[in-house]
Amino acid sequence: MGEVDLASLVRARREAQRRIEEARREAKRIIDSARQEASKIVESVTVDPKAIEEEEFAKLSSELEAFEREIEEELRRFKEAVGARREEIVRAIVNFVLGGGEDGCEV
Amino acid sequence: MAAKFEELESRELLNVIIEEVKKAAEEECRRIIEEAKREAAKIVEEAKQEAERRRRELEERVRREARLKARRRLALKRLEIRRNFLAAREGVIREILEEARRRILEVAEGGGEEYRRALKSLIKEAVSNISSRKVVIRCNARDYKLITGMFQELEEEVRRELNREVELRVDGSLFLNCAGGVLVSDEEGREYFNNTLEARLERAKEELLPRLLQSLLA
Repeated sequence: MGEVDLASLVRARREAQRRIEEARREAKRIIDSARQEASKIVESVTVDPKAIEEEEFAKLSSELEAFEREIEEELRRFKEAVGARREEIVRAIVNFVLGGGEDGCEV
Repeated sequence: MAAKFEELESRELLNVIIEEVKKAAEEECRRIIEEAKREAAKIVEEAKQEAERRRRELEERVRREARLKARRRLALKRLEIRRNFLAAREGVIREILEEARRRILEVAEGGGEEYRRALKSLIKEAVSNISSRKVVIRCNARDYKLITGMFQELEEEVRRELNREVELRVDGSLFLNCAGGVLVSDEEGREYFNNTLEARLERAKEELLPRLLQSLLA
């Protein structure tokens, strides 16, 4: 084997080293780029406070409407119950005031 | 000839070695890049997870504040609903009490037997709540006539029913400004029992009516 041939082996090894170094630089570039992207992802976190406020307000408004309906229903039941027994209630109060006790009231 | 052959073999061997070096380098390059890509994907994935965690945290905080703000905005409305309900209910109760009051006044102003019985009953109840032997009865001018007109039988009934010695006196020097009924006290005015129609109506409102309504709605 002559000197020329050994030189080509040395060249091949240098070339291999160079390519590996280049691959390492490329790898570093890939990771740095990923880190930058990661940083952007984390920093870009935002929420829309206005939309959330509207959502919460709508939710509570709807709860309030349900409460209002419930109260209206309670009032309707109350009026209905009192209306149906009105005469008995009045008589019971009259009896009570005039010292007759609660007789006459069957509610 | 042999030397030439050897040189040829050495060159081929060298070529094989060079190819192997190149191949190993390529393999190493591929491994380095693939590992970097995996690492990069992992970094981005972790960032996405972190971003999602932060977003949830931020949203929860904003939502909490928004809820408080909305509650404050709606609190008055809620109170108003409650107040309107209570007012409407109070209106129904007021109408009933007004109807009862009107009928009571009719009976009292009529001054008939029903009212005489009522007066006796009110006096007996009031006297039973006074521990003193001497008891003063105060009333309005109309009832004064009714009570004095039945005084003797009233006093006897009170003694009999309460089963104790009682001296009744109807005070005609100062009439009460009330719709009817009596205010009974001992001579010194230390002990008294208010059984005027107004006081009884108030008691009916406070004690009787809530019980009636409760059993009605149960």
